[in-house]
Amino acid sequence: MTARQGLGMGSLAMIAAATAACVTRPPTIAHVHIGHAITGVHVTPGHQGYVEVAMGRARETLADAQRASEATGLAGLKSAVAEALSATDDPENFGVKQSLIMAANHISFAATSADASANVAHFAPAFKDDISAVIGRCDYIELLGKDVAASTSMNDARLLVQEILASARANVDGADPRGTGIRGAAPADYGVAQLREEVLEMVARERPTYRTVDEWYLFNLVRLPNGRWVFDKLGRGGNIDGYK
Amino acid sequence: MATSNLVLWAATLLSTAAWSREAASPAACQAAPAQPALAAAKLAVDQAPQDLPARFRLADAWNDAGCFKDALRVLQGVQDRYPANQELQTRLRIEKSLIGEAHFFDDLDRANGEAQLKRDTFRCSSFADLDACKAALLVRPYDPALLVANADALMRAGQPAEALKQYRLASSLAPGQVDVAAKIHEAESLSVAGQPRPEGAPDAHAGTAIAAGAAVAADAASTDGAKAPKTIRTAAGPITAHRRYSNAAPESQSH
Repeated sequence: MTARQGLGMGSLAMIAAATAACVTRPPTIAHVHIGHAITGVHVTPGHQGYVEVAMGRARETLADAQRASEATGLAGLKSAVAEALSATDDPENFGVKQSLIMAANHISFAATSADASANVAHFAPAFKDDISAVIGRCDYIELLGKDVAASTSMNDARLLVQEILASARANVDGADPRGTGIRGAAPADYGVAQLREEVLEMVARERPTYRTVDEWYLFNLVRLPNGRWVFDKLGRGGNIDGYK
Repeated sequence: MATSNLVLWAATLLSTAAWSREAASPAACQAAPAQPALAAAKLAVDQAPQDLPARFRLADAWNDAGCFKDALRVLQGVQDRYPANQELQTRLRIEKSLIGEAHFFDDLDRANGEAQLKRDTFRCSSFADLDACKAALLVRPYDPALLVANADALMRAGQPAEALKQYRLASSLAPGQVDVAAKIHEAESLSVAGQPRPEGAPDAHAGTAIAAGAAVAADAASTDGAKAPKTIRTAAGPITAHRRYSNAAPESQSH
């Protein structure tokens, strides 16, 4: 190896070290909170981010409602509707409603972090407004589901299921109340798909650029007794209870 | 020390914002200055309007009372004087967040209320559920479509006189609806037919229901020989002498 080659290798090593230092630099606290909304959080099924959980549960609701609409007996119909209800609104198992509220809360945590950008700060209240259409449909599905549970008539139950099915579909892809062929054209018609898109667009506007937050940071953000948010250097899995 | 206090204060406020709905009503905030803590803090600010710690104490007192907008106003009053003060900026940001939280819970409540109204409207129009009609009309008493749905439900429940009032109200709110005019005519006929006749007077309204296009039919379920309710078929659907109950009612009371 010549001296020039040696110098070159050294420079490369220095660049690599510098790059590594950049990559391993902790994310901002605001970005970790955003990461909980879109990438992962250790309390959810599959450690998914809350928006992804909401999307998965909305699809489950739609599949259950579809199954209910195809049921030939009242018992089968009621069973499928009960599952749709559980996927929609279940405080213990992250229903669509709970997951979206948690996503909005975490985006709010991000917005009030000392290192939050103006982009995040402006987005948080708008996002909270925008989730209300899906939350309203979740409430509607729950009310109709209770009516189904109390129903003794297959015909009545079928009518109710058609309503549930329409709301469940709107919660996934958005609604198209004016029949324009475009689902989720306005916030009042948003489904989880449009909400997720909205979050991703906000993330794309972030400066400095948002990088997918490493799992270690996502799962090890802890709140100290004095109220400070820090990363647990021992990596003990985080104290996300601090959020609850 | 000051920084750690600030962080602690911020975390406390944030947790309040995230997990509770403690915003007081406007009326409560109007009455709040009478509270001793608020009165004392306000007096201190009146005596030294530019004193930042005094402002913070007054903002805290407003926050304790759940009056976040008032707290924000107190802080905004010195924003221009202390543009670089970090604690003031953090407090301002969090006050705005607290106000946003209150708005968020209002949104959730509104979404729940709208869902209930939508459900009641659906049950009123699809199942002629009079309880649901009543609940929906409490929220939207002058909604023509809802009034017509309620009237249809009343017709089905065998209450044409009540239905007539609702049809007429709907017609006055949204004139020119041909189908409502037909329903009014039908309800009028049935109302008159249902009125008690003076003793010995001829039955001037005999056959009115048939003339109005209604047909009297025996309930199909009467094959077991039990006495069946009479059902009159009308434009608003079958009218049964029995009241219709919601699905939540016992089966014995259901339609």
